[in-house]
Amino acid sequence: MQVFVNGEPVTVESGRLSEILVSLGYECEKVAVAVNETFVPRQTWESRELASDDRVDVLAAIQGG
Amino acid sequence: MKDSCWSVYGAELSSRLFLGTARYPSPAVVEQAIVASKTDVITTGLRRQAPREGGGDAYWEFLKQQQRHLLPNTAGCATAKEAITLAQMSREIFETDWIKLEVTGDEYNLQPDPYELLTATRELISLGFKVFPYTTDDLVVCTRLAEMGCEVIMPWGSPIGTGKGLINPYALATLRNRLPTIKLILDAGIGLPSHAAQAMELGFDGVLLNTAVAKADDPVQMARAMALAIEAGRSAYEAGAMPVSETAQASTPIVGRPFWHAK
Repeated sequence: MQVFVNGEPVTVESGRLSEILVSLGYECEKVAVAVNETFVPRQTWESRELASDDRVDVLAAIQGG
Repeated sequence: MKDSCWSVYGAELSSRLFLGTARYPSPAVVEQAIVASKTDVITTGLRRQAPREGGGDAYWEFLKQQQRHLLPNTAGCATAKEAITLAQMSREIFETDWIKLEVTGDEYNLQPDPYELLTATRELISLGFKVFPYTTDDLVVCTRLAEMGCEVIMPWGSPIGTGKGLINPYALATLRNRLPTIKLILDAGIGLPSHAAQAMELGFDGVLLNTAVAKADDPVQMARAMALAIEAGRSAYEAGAMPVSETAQASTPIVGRPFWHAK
């Protein structure tokens, strides 16, 4: 199945969000996630199953004005 | 007179300067500027994170070490939906209900979109956020934001990063007069300490700035200068300025003036 992570196509075996984040190497305590432009709280990552072509945004802290 | 303590959304603050953390020459300079400015509140943001880049943890550790209130922004959002999602992500990362709500309606001057801003504000307040809306100086928009429950409103002085100062002092003074109980923080457009002092002399409660310090030749010294200007402007507002006159008024008493004889 293909999903998009930060705009890039990624082929995944499992649709489980938590597993996808780990497999991509994200440190899960440091990032926040949205799927299809909707916030997905960290405590629901374990139970969230992605569908084909879902758009995942993984964000982290940066400098800001 | 020492600037007195004040509060926003229940947080006691001593400084009236909110400082942005972007565009500095190095992390060390940001840190020194934060110290020199004596700010209690620093702004921050969220952006896409590539895998195996450490998840932004170096910057997160840096933020925690500053021991300041964090004010995350929604910079770059063009719709209420985007801003609401980003605010929720910020709350999880930064562990604060505070959000500097930016919804851009025009890319040329990064002008806030008042319609999307009001929609996002209503929703975020219902979700328990403490909203710091970045807005134009439009009185009606600011009034609506106040009616929705914003304790703080942040009108622009001029577009972000321009350094043009207060391009419509009349509108800003009107906001002060019409919204006397709202905490008004001038956000964006400051280039010089005199601009910041002018906002404070108008009765604004604080100033948020970033580029004016970050892009100064010496950001740390400029941070200090801004802090002094904001304190001076606030003291002047509290002192109450003299009335302006169209004609000269002699300072030295007229009575007893020498070389005067009745003719």
